[in-house]
Amino acid sequence: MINTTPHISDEGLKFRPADVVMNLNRLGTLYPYPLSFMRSLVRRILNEKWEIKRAQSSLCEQGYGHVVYEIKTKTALYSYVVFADYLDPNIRSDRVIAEKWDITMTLCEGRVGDDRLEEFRKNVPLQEKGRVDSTCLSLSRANKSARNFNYVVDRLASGRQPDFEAMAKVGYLYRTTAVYGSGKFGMADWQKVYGTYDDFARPFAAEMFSCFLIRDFSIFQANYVAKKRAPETAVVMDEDIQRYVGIGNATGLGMAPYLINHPLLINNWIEIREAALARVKQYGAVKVNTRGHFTCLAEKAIQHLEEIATDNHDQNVINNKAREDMGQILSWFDANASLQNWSQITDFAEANYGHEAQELLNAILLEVFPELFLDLEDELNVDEKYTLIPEMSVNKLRQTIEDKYGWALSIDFDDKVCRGTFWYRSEEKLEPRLGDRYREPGAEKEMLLGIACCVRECYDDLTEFDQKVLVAEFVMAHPEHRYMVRRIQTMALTRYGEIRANVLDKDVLPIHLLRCKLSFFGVGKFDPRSRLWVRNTMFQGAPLISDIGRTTEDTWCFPIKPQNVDNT
Amino acid sequence: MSTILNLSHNELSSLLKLALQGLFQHSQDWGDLAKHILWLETHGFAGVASMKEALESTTFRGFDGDISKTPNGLCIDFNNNSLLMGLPMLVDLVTAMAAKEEHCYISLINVHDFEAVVSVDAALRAQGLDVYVDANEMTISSQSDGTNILFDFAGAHECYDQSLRDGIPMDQEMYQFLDNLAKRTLVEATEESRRGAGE
Repeated sequence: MINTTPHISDEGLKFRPADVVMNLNRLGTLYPYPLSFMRSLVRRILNEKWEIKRAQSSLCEQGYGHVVYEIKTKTALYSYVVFADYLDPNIRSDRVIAEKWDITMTLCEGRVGDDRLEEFRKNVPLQEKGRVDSTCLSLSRANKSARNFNYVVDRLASGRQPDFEAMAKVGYLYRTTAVYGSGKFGMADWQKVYGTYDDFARPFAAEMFSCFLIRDFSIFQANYVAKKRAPETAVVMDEDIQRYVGIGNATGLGMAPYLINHPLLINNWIEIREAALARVKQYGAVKVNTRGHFTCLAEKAIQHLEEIATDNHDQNVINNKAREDMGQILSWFDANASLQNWSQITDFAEANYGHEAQELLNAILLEVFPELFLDLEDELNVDEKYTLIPEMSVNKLRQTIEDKYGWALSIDFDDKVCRGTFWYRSEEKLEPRLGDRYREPGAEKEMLLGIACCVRECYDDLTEFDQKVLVAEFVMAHPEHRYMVRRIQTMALTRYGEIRANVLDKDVLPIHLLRCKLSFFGVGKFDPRSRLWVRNTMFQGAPLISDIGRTTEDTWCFPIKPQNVDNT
Repeated sequence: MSTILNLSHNELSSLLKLALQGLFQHSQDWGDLAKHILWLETHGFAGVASMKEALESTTFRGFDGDISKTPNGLCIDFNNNSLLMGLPMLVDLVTAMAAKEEHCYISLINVHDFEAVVSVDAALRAQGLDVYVDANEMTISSQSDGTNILFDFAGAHECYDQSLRDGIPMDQEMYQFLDNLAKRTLVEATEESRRGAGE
């Protein structure tokens, strides 16, 4: 009945086992790779030569007003509308609960005329409190990194390029605080996007594109304001520096429930990443040119890590250790000229170094051989159906849990520490939050995210039920377990299954869930602000709109400071 | 004058799930039930209005009736409750019976909102199971006796396509009704709770 089988069926491909891959600590060390969504999007834009222009620009001298981009792809025309407003610095906030932002945007189908623009003007700046329609694919907002934006404008206005060291500390002019899609606030459902807008029919493509254009707008606005302020002296930002400008992002707990509520999709993303890695290790040739490419990328990755500026002590320790470890791995690699295959180096890393260095090495290897797995690019979507198999016997279901969810059964939920946290939505803009189950009110309204605990409860009731009867009878007697039963039955058929973590633990680290998802987005430069939220950088080093038609190179991984720009 | 909102499928599905959770906590598989009601709503069978009416008439309750074996198959007595909350259960029973027996036959008695069975029919067909619904006799069978009452599936598909293209039109009052139920799942904001978001 269910057609959920391991997605990638390359014969003889040696996948890493689920207990290794689905460990949350390891997932929290993943780096972006060539199939990450923003990489995939930029390749498509460059290869298909999308025409992107600012069709309307109505900004005052301070850069407030609106800009409408028009995007002509192979098959369709879209518009991207940006409203830039004055924001009192005292109320500028990255939190979901903010009510006003420096810029608000929507991506929509077709051309935007005056009436539609006015409708957007009434609703888009309101974000969650407004409504858009089903021709819209994304709704988002961003705030200035005020210090960096003002610094860049001052430098450009005075005829100088921004200093790299100052730029490197932040790396962006604006920071997104939310990017919505998939039917939120009246927008087009994913099903419609997938069926109607082929250009954005890959996961989160419309959302990533929105961020790509925020980056362009941020550079455009900085150049514009500098020119208006000092028409005689202002210079345009150097293109190499423009490429180094990314778009900041602040990600909090809101992203974590998505990973837990979409296990089939996450399994698929991970399975494809693992298939790519397995292909590289099995089929990637060890030759002079690939050895050289590997060395260059490893050195670039080390420099990239060195350039990450974060105040977070733990993250600095992690980055420094990863650099040191990668340096040692590189030395080992140089000393082993007779390497036969890339598994030898990953085996060496697994035997001698931690998750962070292992996954950094894997990410570098994936960058060396993208041609071995780019064919998987269109496989990232999955039709998420969690269908109950009511004709299965209770005994078989119990065995399935023992076989596939042993990790969950091994957690002692009688220990208060293991159930110390509950997840809930606050009345403040539905913001997801964590509470202490034994101290704070609201546990009776918790979100159903503690999958391991639910599995345990389901298993306990199953063991007391007649083992010979069908699951249909069990779920009639225990309707509270029906969701978990169909989830278990579905995920048991997949290669990787669930993320193996107890998110109810008193000391849960949601930041690992955030980094895992962000790595699939293609985000880098993680800067944790606490165990609950992280700042990061998107599209740093990526081609600019002006690069479309000039290049199709996909070499912007591990971005580092530009080398040859005169910024004095 | 009441305003019409155009909701996406995702919005209505999430809203229904939260509204049901707001009413009954995690006592049932609300995600699947929300799918059935969404299916009814987007195919022209007024799922949300039926749910509201059933709630107001207190017939929207978990299954507390009887299931008995008959010479043909099963008879389910819904004890004068709405079929709505029993939709996922009915899919399970038909699927299990069809897999186990050569022939599946279920009759329903003392049930309100029988017409909602059309979403069971659709769910079963999506799984590759052909069933026949007799609206007069209130039966579901895997073999036709020639008295099937068929629904207007052509019209239903058109209705669905339009809802995906333009959104699902919903009266503001109805939306508010669901939203007020969904808000029961929200926890009051305090200084301490703000720290739980990383502040």
